[in-house]
Amino acid sequence: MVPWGAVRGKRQLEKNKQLVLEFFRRVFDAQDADALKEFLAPDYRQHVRHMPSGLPAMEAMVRAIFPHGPRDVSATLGSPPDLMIAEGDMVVTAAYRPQPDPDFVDGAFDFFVFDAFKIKDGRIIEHWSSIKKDSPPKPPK
Amino acid sequence: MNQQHAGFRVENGIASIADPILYSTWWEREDYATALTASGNTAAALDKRLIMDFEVALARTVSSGRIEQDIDGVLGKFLAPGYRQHDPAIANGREGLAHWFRTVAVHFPGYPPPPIGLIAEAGLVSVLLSMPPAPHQSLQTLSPQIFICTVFRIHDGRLVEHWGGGKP
Repeated sequence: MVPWGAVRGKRQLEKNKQLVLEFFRRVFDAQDADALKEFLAPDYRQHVRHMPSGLPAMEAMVRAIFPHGPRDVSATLGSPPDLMIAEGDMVVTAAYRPQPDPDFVDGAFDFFVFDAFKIKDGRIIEHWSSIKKDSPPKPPK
Repeated sequence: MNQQHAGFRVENGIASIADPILYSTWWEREDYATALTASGNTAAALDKRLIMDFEVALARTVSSGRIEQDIDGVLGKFLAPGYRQHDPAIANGREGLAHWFRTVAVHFPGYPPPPIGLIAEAGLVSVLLSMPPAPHQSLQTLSPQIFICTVFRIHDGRLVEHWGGGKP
């Protein structure tokens, strides 16, 4: 028999994953800086240097990337991660993003982008990423 | 859930390294491995421990300068025969990873980076590694801190699959 605490814990992990998926959809698919406050804690802490810490700076960044947003958004995430892992208050996503091969014209190599999020009180409070500022992955054409 | 240890602190499963010496000693610190692999979920704790043991064994192999002699033994102990690699920088299988250690890891300066967080669910374990702070080449400051995030899949006590963010 599964202990009740484990069931409740499992449900919380699924809620945390859902929060991250909704963050991707409502902010980046929808190109909507105003939606950030529903997902990020005010003192959101960033562990990557190509994105800022804090909610106001993130809002400014999303506005700069999507000056024509927001736009209508589908009910499902456009490019969902291929793999999600949740434990405690952490959620890790890995997304398959093949990259142009430098050695072959029109060739591509397999590439995964990783993000790790820490959740507190229903908001994302910390973020780590595999992306390096000096060699960011190229978006699909 | 906030534990204080000598040179580091673990809060909700994520380590903050206070003493830089830990970057060159973490693989000898059982208290570090124990603190980082704790979990309320028994299966998750076992999977995290397996990955931590693998990272420690690799770090010992690299730091002792015995990659050539020892890497096949370490990989043979931890990896399943059909190990699948999803990292463009590393060829598939146990042989591909052994080749990467013999030809690439052998030239890395410094020490193997410490895992600072292990996140486990249903046979998948994600590892967050922190590169040691290094002086920046041009700025009069430390380089931005770099994290590596990677995922392993475990089956029957062996590593069967890996996703990594390397570039060829």
